[in-house]
Amino acid sequence: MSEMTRRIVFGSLRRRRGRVVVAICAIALGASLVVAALNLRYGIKERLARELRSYGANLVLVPRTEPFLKESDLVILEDKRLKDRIIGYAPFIHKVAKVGGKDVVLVGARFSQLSKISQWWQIEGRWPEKENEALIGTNAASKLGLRLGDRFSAVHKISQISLSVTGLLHTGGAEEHQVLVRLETLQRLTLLDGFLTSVLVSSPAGKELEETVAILQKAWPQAEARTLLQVARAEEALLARLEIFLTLVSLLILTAAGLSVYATMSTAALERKVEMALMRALGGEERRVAWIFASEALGMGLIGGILGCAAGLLLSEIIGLSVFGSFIFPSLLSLPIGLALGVGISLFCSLWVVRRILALQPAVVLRGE
Amino acid sequence: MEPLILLEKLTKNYDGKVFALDRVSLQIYPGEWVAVMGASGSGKSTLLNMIAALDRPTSGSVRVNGEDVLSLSEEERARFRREKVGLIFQHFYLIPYLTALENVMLAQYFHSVADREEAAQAVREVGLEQRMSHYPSELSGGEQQRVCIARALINQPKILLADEPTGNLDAENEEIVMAIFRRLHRAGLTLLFVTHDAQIGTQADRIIELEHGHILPTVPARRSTLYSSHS
Repeated sequence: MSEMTRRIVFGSLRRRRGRVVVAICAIALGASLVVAALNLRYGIKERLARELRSYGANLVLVPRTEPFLKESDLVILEDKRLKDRIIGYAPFIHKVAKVGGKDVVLVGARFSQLSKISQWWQIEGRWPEKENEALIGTNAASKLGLRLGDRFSAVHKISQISLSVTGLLHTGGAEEHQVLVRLETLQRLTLLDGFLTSVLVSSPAGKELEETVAILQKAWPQAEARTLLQVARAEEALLARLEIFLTLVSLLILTAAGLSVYATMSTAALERKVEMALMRALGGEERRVAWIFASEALGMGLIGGILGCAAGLLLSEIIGLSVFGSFIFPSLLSLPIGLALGVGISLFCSLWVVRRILALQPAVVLRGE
Repeated sequence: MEPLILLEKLTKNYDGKVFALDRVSLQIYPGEWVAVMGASGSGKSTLLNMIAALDRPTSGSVRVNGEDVLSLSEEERARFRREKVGLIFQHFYLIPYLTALENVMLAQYFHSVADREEAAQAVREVGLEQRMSHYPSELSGGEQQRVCIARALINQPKILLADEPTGNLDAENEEIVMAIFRRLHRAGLTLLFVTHDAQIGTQADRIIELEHGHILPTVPARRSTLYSSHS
């Protein structure tokens, strides 16, 4: 940029700083809304996918050939490659035992892990904490005639254990027919220390779930990873609808922001049509005059775009914090899009109007037509 | 001698009905000072705009310094304006965010390269050496018009075209500006003025009167009392 071009551009920006600030604000506002919408589009989907995981597992690991999985193999799920893909998991052992002479399914579980992937379960009472405490499904409690606080014995082959009821379980699923005890308690009762019958895994839905299955199969060949299809498909459908909705909202915001920037920039360019006509009357070629105004628009677009990106990031984090109670991981793609929008729309709108004015004969503009 | 400006059957009409200029033919010779006069809407400014390549006629021809202005492309017309003509407007048209000196440098910038020293000399020649770094809003009307004159002359044009150059000036500033024009004329510059002021017109070598887009018989201004008696 030559010295004179710089004088013209900076002189104009300084002289019209009120209008320049308004234009930059319009660009920044447009860019910020688009950046926020894009961040939310990606962030909400990711957050919601994780939130959905608190409503149950969508993968189950069962033994491939052997009758049991080894508890010591659970370290595989803590591996670096899988840790980020697994929101939570809960190992189980299932065995049929006799309670009061009736067959009932005893489930051994780690309650601290189970509670994380079963947040919708309703418990009357509390989760078991000690070795001889149990959680009983409402149907099982009714069948066995047990109430909160009752003590009972469970017998498996020649082993027997005395348990007390700390909670009654409502899930609307198979758990209502089961008795849940600590994993170690059932392993001891059944003489299956260090063995598991299944592991429930909660992983983000969609394409990521398929990838998780593939990695699991490879990392833990003794286990077969099965997708709980009904859950996974319902989640995928929900997330797909959400994505369409957020895409439409982003497009609407993009259009509204674009129109707002267009209105501001074209008004600013129209106000200066006499300057453009004068420059042409003094012998300025169209390209050279257009370059002067494009430089101004470029400067305003850059400043507005950068401010808009920062504001958009902040806005999306504030929304994420207020809706999900945690920060949204920003989409890196949103920043170049926001910046390109600021610069692109500013340049396009400005040059669109400049071109139309330059197409007029200078005399027409100078005599005020 | 070849005419510097040659107009033949120059016509400009709007919507095919209103004639701003109607088959105007005119010759202006190098070093001549011509005043174009007439009532408002007679076509004076339109004539000047055609010669300056600021507008396009409906028909006819315009030759300036041997160059057929109408055959030029937009880029060539821009080149023609910056090399051949100096323009002075009634409303000055100075860029408000550039100083007096920078406004003069603007014409250099579009011509070739902005040269601060050369521009400063041009501003000195119109008596504004103390006002170079002032913005147009800080200058009087007469001072603004003198900046316009410096801007019009900076690229050494063949012809100076002025549209009501004293139209917005008081008597004192009008005299200062006219003194500059007289000096330029003595130096041999060709001047074409549009004015409705008879006193200004009589200072020219020749007056061309326009009426409804038609040119009336030429009046040798300095030897005529026609316009001065009307003033």
